[in-house]
Amino acid sequence: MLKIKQLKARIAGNDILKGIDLEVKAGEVHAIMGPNGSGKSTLAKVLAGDPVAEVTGGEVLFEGKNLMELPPEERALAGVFMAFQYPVEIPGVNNAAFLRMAYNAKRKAQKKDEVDPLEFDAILQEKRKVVEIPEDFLNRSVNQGFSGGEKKRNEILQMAVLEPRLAVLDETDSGLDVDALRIVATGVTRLKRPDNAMILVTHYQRLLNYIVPDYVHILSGGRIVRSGGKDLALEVEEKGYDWLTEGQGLRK
Amino acid sequence: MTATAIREKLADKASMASQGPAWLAPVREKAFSRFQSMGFPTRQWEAWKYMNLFPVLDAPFHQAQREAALESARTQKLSRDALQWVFSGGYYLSDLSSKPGSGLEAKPLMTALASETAPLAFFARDLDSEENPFVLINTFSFTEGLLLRVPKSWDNHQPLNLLFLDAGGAPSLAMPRVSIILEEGAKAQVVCRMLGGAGQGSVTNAVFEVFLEQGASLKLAQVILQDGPHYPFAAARFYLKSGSSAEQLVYCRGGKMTKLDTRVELEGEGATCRLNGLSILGGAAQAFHELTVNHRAPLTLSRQFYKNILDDEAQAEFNSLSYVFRDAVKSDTQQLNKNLLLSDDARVYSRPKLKIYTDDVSANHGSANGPTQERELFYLRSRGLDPKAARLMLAEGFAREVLDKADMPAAGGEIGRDLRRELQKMVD
Repeated sequence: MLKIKQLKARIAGNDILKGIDLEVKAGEVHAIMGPNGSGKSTLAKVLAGDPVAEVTGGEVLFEGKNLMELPPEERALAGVFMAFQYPVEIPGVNNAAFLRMAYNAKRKAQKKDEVDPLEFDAILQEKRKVVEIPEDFLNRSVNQGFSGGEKKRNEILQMAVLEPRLAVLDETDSGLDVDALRIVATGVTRLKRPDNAMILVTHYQRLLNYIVPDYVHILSGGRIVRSGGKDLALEVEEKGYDWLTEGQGLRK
Repeated sequence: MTATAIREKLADKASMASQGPAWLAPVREKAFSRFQSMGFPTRQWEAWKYMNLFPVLDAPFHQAQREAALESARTQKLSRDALQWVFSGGYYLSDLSSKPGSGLEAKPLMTALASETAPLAFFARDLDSEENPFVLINTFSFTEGLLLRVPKSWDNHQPLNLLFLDAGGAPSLAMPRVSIILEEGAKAQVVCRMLGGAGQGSVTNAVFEVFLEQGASLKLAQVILQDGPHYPFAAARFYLKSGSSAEQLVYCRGGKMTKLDTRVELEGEGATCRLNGLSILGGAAQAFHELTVNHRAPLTLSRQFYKNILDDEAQAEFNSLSYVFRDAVKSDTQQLNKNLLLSDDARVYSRPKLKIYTDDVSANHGSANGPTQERELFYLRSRGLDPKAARLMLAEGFAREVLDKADMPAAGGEIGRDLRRELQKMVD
C-alpha cells in the first residue's frame, strides 16, 4: 500500500528526515516511536502534504501513485488521512456541515452521488458512536472551544466518516488523560480493517496497550534506527530511547 | 448651464427647508449655523481621514422626482404581507407602505412633527455636540421621513421593515430621516434595507434616531446591499433609558463608498447595546464604520463585534470609541474587530479606542487582521476539500460568527444567502 524510499525532508531550513525507508501493507498497524525532535511528526506531515514540510529527496508511493506529486486534497481523496497532533480550530464553520462537505468531496471523487444533510445525519449518528461523541459536538464550530481530548476525538470521528485506506495518527495520544485515551484508542481499534492500514506516531508506549502494532520503528536523528515487533515498544518503555540512539552514534 | 455641485448647493442657506411646525425653524437654523461653522469634512478630520469625499461633494446636485421615484418603486417586488414602510429616491411613499394597527404608529415625519406644538424631546436632541456635518445637513434640509412609535404593549415577532430604494435614473441625492420610538417595555424587531440598483448611482444621507424607553428592547438589522456605484451614508443615534437594550446588526455589501456612523447613548442604569457588523467588499468598494458608545450611567454594557472581508482593492475602516463616564461605575465594554483580507491590495484601518473615567469598570478591545490562515486552509484540504471550497468555507465561517452572535432571525437568512453568493464570486 505504502512504500517510502530514502525520504528526506526539511522544516524551516533544517534537515529533519535524512533517509526513511518504510513499507506498509494493507491490514497492518505500524508504530513510529522516537524521542522528541527525531522526525516522527515530520514524517506524518510529509505524508499528508503539509506545506510546512519540504521534501528534499526520496520517493513515496501510495498504491502505486507518487504521493509527493499530489496536493493535500488529492491525497485525502486517494485515501490518506492524518489525525492532527494539534487539530485546527475553525470558528463559524459547523462541524457537521464540514464533515458532510468532506464526505461528499470523497463521494464525488469516487463518482458517487452526494448525500443530502438528512442522509448524512443518519451516517453521522452511527459514526459518532465510534468515539462516543455527544450530539451537541456536531453543531458546534469545528474544534472551537473543544478540550484537548474532544479535539482528538473529533479527529477520529473524521477518520470514521472518511474511512481512509491509510490513517496516520500524529501523536493522537498526547495530552489525553486515561479515560480520553481509552475512548480514542478504542475508537481507532474499531476502525481497523483488513483492507486499511495505520501508522501511529507516538512518543509513549501507552497507546500501544490499546492498539497493538504489527511493527514498531524507532526513529532517531531523522532515520529509522531499529524496527521490530510490538515487544520493541515495551523495551523502549522500560529502557528509554538512549540505549538505541547512543549505540548508533546519532545522538549529540 | 452646469448643475450646482452638492458641495455648493448644501452650503447655500437656500437649501434649508422651511416645511414643518414653527418650533422646527429654529432647530433647522441651529443645524445650519453649526454646519456653516464646521464645513464639510476634510482628510484632516480624524473620523474622515481615510475617506475621499470629492466624488460625492463635487457631483452635480440632483434630486429625484417624486413621480419617478414612485414609478421606480412600483417596479420592485414588494411584499404585500409584511409590515413595511417604503422610501424611494428619498421620498416616503405612503401608497406603498403599510397602515398599521394594534397601537403601532407610523406617520410621515413631517405630519408627525406638525402635530406637535412644542419641540419633541428626542428630535435632533444633541445638535450642540453633533460632530457629523452630514447629520446637520439632514437636519436643516430634510423634508421626507417616517416616525415609528412602538407602543408599550408591543411584543410582536413580526418584523417592522423599512425599505430604502434608489430611484434609478440620473445620480441623485436623498435625505430621508427616521425616528423610532419604543415605549416602556416594548419589544420590536426592525429590518432596515438600503438597496441600490445597478443604475447610475446615488448618494443617500440618512439619519436614524432611536429612542428606547425603560425596559424596551430593539433588534435592528441594517441590510445595505448595493449593486451600483452608490454612496450610502447613514447616521444612527440611539438613546437608551434604564434597563433597555438595543441590538444592531449591520450587513454591508458592495457600493462605492459607505459611511455608517453609529452613536449610542447609554443613559439609564443597566442599559445595554450590542453592535455587530459585517461587510463584504470587493472591487473598489469602501465601507467606513464609525462607532461611539457613551456609557453615561452605572451598570451599562456594550459589545461591539465587527468583521470585514475584503477582496481586490476594497477598503474598510473600524473606528470605534467606547467612552465610560465617571458616573458609569460597574460598566462593561468590549470592542472587537477582525478583518479577512483576500487580496494583497485590500486595505483595512482598525482603530478601537477606549476612554475611561472611572475605576470600577471592565473594558477590553482587540483587533486582528490578516489573510486566510494557512493552517486552517491546510486542515480543510487535508480532508479532501479543494482550495476553492476550503477558502469559501473559511470565509463563510469567518462571516457566520457575526451572524451567529447577532441572533437576528428577521434578517439572518437573507444575509446568509447574500454573503454566500458574494463570497462564491470572490473565491472563484
